[in-house]
Amino acid sequence: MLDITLKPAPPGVTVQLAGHLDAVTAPQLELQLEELFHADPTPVVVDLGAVAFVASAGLRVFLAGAKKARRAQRVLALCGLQPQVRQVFDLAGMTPLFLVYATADAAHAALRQQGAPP
Amino acid sequence: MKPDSDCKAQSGDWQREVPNRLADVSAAAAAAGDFLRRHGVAEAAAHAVHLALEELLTNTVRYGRPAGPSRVALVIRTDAVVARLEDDGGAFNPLTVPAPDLPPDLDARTPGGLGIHLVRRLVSGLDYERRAGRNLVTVTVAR
Repeated sequence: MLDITLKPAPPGVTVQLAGHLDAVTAPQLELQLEELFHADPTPVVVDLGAVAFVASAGLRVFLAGAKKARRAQRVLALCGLQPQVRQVFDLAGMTPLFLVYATADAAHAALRQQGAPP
Repeated sequence: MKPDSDCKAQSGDWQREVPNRLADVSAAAAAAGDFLRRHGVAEAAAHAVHLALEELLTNTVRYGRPAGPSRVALVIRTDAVVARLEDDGGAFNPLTVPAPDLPPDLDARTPGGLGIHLVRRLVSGLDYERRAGRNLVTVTVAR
């Protein structure tokens, strides 16, 4: 089970997730990110604060999402990683590939200051 | 998905026959983690078992083409949790999967191939046997 809630945070958006990001739910996030990269908002901040489980299918979506974001000149950032989730990102060598923040507010504030996509 | 109360009553043991569909195997993997937490297994070990079952069972569904359901059994020991997985799909030894290259550069990374890598890094023991046309995988996670 995964709930996806979009919260506007102009000029960007927060994608708030709750539940598990596994083989069944990862495609839902993939579709959502795809849709957002075709629309205006940037940065796209994915809030994992209520996600207790991320499997390789979820990592795959984040990696593909980061590549698409770069091509579309969008910023994709992550926040709220719980310890077990952070460990999975670390073991997969994925943490260095992302901007990671403590909270969605912190992410949007930092990215607003940075301005244009890197 | 059967509720846990349908499982063998012996405390500390859990077993399932899981239909080979992604929805069923992901739910079973999560249920296994919840079962372990309810029986006093610490979060790190319960999470490791959840993840190992998710990755190994979804691999079987995606690539193994099994005819029958996968079987999963958990035993909680004082020092470790042992999970036994069995399926009649094509021979697949997770120990022979090469470790992925993980460059810290987005352009150099290709999505996929992380599942077995995560399992090997998170568990303390992984054994494989092919017997009578079945894959038998034993996962050990220290408590």
